[in-house]
Amino acid sequence: MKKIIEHLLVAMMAALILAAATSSAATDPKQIAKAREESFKTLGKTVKDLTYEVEKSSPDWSAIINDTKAIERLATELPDWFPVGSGLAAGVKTSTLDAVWSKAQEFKQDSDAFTAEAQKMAKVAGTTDNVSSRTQVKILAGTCRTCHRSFRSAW
Amino acid sequence: VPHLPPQFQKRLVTVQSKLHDRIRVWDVPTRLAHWAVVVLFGLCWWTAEADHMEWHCLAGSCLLGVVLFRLGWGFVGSDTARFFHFVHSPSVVVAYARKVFVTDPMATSNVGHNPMGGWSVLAMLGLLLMQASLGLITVDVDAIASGPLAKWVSFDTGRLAAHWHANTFYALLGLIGFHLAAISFYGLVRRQNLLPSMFHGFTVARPPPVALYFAPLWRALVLAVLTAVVVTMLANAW
Repeated sequence: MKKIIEHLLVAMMAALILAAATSSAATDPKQIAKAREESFKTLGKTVKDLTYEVEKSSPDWSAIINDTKAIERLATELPDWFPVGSGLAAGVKTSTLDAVWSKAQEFKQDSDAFTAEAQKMAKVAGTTDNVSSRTQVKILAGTCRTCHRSFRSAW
Repeated sequence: VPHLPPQFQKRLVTVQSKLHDRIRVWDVPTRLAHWAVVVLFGLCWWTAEADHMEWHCLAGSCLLGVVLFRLGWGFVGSDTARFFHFVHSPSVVVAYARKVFVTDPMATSNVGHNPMGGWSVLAMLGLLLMQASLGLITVDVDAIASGPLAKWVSFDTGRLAAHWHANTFYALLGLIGFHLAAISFYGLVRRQNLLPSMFHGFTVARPPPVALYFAPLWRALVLAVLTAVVVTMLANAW
């Protein structure tokens, strides 16, 4: 019985330490900014792949559909990449401008527009139509650009 | 002219002497390339700031063409445009700098670029070539307004190129500032206005140098066509 209690105590301690470490990583502004940067890299890579794939005369539609699904998923996750206190004011090196939080309503509008166009992109890609897919990629990327102009530092 | 007052006589002699010593120094292709770089660099800067990325790519490709042309002209062009004419060893550059800044601000060198200016030209062309080449593979953060060869590189490489594209721009601004400072130094300290020469191609040289060689214009045209073909191929990603 004593041994069981000892094991339980060790397990509880380990769980507590793990929870503390996880929680610290999740609230550390540097970690958040780093994770955000990585997520945007994934998004950028996927948009780049998609852009060049739809330009091909015989595109790989399964690759395009996979990319559009990934973009759609990332677009819905995007607002969660910006928790309050993960900007320049927290002393982290980031391209994110404070306007993300000071103009939260406008930022939401832009991220909603991106999500909407990403959903449309997934639908258009499903039709395997080259012309409309190329057009939709440009519209989708346009929403990235609009948001970056207001909420991302140029350098 | 006997009927002129003495002060005008003196001035006339000076003007006549200057006209006598006036020699052709810069050929048409060198001057055109110089001013094309000025205009295109400004255009590239403005189009990037104003987010007209299609125009930026076009202006950047033209700039690459002009730089390639000028590099080629540095080997097959007129004397004053050729690298062997104005790129000197470091010891010559140091000796000239010491003369100008320490012993004799009026010290002269051969006609065309002086030993310090020669290296400045090389640095300028090198940085411009680097800037335009990086632009070819640069990937925009949105992955949409990217260089014409960006599809051949990964997203990370393209972003790294974008980072260095920005750094090279600042290095170029510094070098342009240095170039303008040198022109001002010549104007203010040496009372020698270098700017008009780059428009009309003539300068005053005392004593006049040995006859300079000027390359025929057809050679410049052939070189221009060749560089245009190369840049068009690059800009259209083969």
